[in-house]
Amino acid sequence: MDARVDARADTDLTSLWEEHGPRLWRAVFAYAGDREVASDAVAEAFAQCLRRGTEVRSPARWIWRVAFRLAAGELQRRGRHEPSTDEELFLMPDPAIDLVRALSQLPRKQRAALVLHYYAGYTTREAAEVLGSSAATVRVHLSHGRKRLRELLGDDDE
Amino acid sequence: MSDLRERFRALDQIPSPDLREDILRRPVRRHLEPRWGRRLAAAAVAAGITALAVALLVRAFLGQPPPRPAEDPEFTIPTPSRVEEILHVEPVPHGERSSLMPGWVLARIEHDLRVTTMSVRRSKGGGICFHLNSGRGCGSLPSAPGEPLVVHVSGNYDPDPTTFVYGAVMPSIREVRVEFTDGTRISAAPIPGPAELTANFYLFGVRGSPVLGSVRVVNADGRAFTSPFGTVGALPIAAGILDVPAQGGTATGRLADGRPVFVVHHDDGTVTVVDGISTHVTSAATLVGWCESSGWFEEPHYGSKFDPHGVYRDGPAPTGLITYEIVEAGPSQVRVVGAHAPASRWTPGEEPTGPFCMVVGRPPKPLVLPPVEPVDATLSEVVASHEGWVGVRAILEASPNGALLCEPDTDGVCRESFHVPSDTKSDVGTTYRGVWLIEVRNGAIVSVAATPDTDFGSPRRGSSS
Repeated sequence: MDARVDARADTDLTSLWEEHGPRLWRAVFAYAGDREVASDAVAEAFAQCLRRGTEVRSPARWIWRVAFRLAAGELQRRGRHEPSTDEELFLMPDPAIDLVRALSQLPRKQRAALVLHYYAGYTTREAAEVLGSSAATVRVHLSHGRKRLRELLGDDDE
Repeated sequence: MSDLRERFRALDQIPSPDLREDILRRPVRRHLEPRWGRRLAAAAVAAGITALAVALLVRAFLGQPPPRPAEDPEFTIPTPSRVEEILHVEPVPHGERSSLMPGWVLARIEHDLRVTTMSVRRSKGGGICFHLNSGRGCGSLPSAPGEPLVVHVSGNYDPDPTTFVYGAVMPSIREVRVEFTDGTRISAAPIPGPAELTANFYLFGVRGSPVLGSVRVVNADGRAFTSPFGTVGALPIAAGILDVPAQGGTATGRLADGRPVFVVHHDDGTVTVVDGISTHVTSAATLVGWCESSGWFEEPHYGSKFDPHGVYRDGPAPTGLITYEIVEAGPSQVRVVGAHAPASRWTPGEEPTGPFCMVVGRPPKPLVLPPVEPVDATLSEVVASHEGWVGVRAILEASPNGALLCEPDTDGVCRESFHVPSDTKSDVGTTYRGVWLIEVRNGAIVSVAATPDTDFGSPRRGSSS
């Protein structure tokens, strides 16, 4: 009688990837503006989560947080606040190209807040948890980012 | 605001790569921030060099070695070798009823493992949880007696498996603490098993539990073994009333089932009841005696020594002696209400008050020993009719799977032999004659102990009366 009680022994890469992988990758890509950074951060976050197994209580949250932090660390290391997105965009549909280009004009923290809130559907508090800041800070970034993004997208009239 | 959500939905049209293969191929601890990694590594190296230099300076000035890791019996620093341990736990039948607790639980640790702390708890769901050092694992209770409970415990363990003590493989376990949710706590120490079980067995008892027939250990290959410690720590609540000697005195006594004990009335007025049978078992256990001059209990055959509280002090015994929980039962009388499993070897004890009675190479001085009168009946009659501890005259032969006790006829030939579980790895084929104290349960001999009138053991071998 095997009474193994590993709560999440069945941490399954396939199901975790299907649920969060593509969406997380797009979010990190929109934030970083760089395919390589996005792929590296997302793959590393998944790998670390699987390695940690049951230590991670909420794998989805954990992966999002780690992926964003890894991407932020990489951007900081590269010392590049304005990602060069042009070469990344040749495969994308127009609305996506417009958005990613506009996002690339914003400061990093505003980009992160906007992507987490408007794309991933996180509340300001949840976004703050992912970014390791406070909800109030995220609200400020959202407010500034929203204004600037609308300008860049030509939605000023709203 | 919804306009922005609409805008962001465009991101869904970006084709994303499938990174699953990349995820599985990733090496452990890959750092995306190598500069920080280098800084940390450099800081760690610098800190290590500083610490080493400080330690060397301290050593040079004080002339003393640097402090060793704490030798606290309850806590030691686990070394970082992560292994998964598997425990097989079987409920041990006691009498008609069979349940996991109260009673005895057998835990077998699959891998050689140095256990420094261990506790067992009932989980909220009615299962059982084991904590081994830093690891933890739970399982649900078996639905039927004898059905094994397998609990996987993972954590950081010291890989050092065993230590050798007096030629016998003993687990390097120091103390076992068992704590139940009802507040019951007991501590136990390793109990030696026969050689083929290689001592990776730990037995736990609950104080004041119902009568326990015997502890049965089933080996991985299916061979069964009944522990000679079968009744230890599992005495009935009414385990007998004992007379207490005058202050400063020690007297022998018998529990309700005939088990020999000592009642020690210490100089400070407290009373201790100590078991009369040594925890050192080879082909048979041996009685211990009280030495007036040393103020210790001494084992006449192998020379193990214990202080007046039954705490181990010297010799081959693996643990201290069993002690008993008592309540006052009247003027100069105590009632035994429970048993404590023997304390570990590392328990601090008292110093002797004078010369020892048993010194190797010198003639022994007389010990106060529990009187054992052999009954006037054949061995088969005793086994068929008796229950509890009784003296018999018999021959014990060490066999590969335990000992054989037989009653010789006038020619000295054995008519009928009774199997007695014991550890006979070193003296297979040897026979010992004399008076034995045996424990009979349900028509079987479950324990045998040598008395002073037994030709057994090294210091007094051949000097029996």
